Amino acid sequence: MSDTAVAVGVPVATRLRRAPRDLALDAALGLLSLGEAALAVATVLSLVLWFGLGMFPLFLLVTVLIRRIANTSRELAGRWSGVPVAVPYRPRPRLERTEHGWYWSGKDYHKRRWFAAVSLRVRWIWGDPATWRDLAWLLADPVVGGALALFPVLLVLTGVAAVLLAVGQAAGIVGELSWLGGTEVPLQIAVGLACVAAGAAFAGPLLRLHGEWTSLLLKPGRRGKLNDRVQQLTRTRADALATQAAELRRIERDLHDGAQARLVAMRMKLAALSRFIDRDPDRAKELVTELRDSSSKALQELRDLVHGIHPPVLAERGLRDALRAFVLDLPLDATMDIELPGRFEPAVEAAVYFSVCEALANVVKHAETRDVTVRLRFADGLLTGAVVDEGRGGADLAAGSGLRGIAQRLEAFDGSLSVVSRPGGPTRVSLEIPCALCSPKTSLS
Amino acid sequence: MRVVLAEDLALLRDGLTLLLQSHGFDIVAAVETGPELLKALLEHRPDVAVVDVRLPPSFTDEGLQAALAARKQVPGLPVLVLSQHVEQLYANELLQDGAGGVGYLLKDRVGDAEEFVEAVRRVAAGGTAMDATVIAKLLARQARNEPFETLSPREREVLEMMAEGRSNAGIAQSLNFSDGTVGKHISNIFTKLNLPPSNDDNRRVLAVLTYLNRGKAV
Repeated sequence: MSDTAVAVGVPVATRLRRAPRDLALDAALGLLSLGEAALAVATVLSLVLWFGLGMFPLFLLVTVLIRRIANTSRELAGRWSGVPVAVPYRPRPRLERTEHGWYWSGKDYHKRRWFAAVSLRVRWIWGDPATWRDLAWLLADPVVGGALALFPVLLVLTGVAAVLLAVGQAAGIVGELSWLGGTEVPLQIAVGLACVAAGAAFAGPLLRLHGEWTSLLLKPGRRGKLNDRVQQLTRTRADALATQAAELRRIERDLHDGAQARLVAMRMKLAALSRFIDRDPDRAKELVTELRDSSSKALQELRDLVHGIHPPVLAERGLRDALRAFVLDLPLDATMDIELPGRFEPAVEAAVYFSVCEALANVVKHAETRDVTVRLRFADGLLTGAVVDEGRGGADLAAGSGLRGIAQRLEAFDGSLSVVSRPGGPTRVSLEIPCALCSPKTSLS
Repeated sequence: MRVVLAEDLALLRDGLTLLLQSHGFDIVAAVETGPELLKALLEHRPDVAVVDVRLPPSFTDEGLQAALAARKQVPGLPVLVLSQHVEQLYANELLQDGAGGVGYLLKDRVGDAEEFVEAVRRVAAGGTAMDATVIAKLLARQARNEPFETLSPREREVLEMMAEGRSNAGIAQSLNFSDGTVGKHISNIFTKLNLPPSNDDNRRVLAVLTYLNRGKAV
């Protein structure tokens, strides 16, 4: 017993304390295996009915049940055995309807809604590799999983029975049993207790092993993962392109309504100026002042526009100084805890820069505090950042469109953004983005 | 007055050369890159250098870096830095050594020749020339702070111009005051902000800038 304890690394005392719970969970998993066995029989039957007699409704019902029981097993593996298993199924496709009232099943058009819906559903379940892994698991688990879960339980039950029988025999309540072979009562009790102890000792490790076994077949397969990845890439690429298109439209509009309009106005004023210069020198002087103002406003607008596209300090100095420069202009007492070993791809730097800026702008707008800490680190190919304030909290990623846009921008680089903000604070906006380090001196021209 | 000029755009370099020559400056070197600038600054030791922040080969802040490096070797070497954008961060770096003789202006300011040349002269004389944009941001940040709130709007105006590096006479001229009025405003400001009085113009400006920058050690 101590050997296993050492091997698994859990102290004997802890193991003993947990044994009753582990045994109960093992027993529950064993019972679940019985349910799986029944479902396995039903599944085989439904497949026979489908292919033999063309009756597929039973199969549909069965697959729903299989997914339900598989998901329960996944959840229990995480909760009871400490082996979290992700759900591998493809998202359910939506039934599309054409303008003329036809329904698209994923393969062809149908007039009847229920027919298309059923067809779509069969196609969805049939085409998902996870379905077949579920099926394999369903057939194997009643045996393998059942044995793993029930072994310690049966051991304990046997031990208890042996002890009870021995005691009963000694007291003369039970007659001498032939299968105990007339062994000595103390020896019977010792063997019984040893069985109970062994059962208790195995309960924990086998519970864990059961979880590993569940994970082996029920976790997302390689194809499933690739499928997820493709879907995620499709979505983030679409988001990135949409964001970029919107950005270009904004720049176009800003140039059109801003600098371009001002230059047109200045040309008109210059035309007027050349007429007034002799006739009305005072009016001409006024125009010169106006022209000077217009030109400096146009320049200011261009500067702001450039800053919004790619801030000059970011291009010149990188993330650390760009964020320091940004914070200098804010009414905040910021602690800048930024340690980065060099520069990153300009696009990555821009994404992180605008993320942190947005988070800081939110602090100014909503947090009602001046104290904020910005932290950036790079390790193992992952750039991580956090903006933490001690303000009033209650921020929500779903509520703020600014933060959502930032999250989208990071997702295009496989990065992510998360917000933890309880009412009353503190608020923590965290981001991470996998990226590679560029050399510290990179020409950006 | 001997000037070293660093600007990579030929159009602007020629324009600046012409402008400064027409005001009686002597351009001893007009260079295009950061390394050339550092070499020219150390070799010629000019009375003033006019430097663009962004220079080849990296097109980052090579001009600023070269200017800072040169000032490390020649403390107080007067440098006027020009940029398409101004940042407090860079302004602070220039002011950090406390030696004065520093200017930091938007390139747009070249459009107003008189004021620009005045700024070059001021920097050459060991004064400062900070862009109004930088000062406006510094003041905005102080707006809600305790002693600063007690300043009257007039005094704030005077403080703003003083922080830009203008002399008493310059301030008086811009605001249509007499020299005496300006002097009175300035001594009021120094009392209210609890700054040590000083008769030296340049040291006074640096004290004001340090005050406006306090509590922002990022």
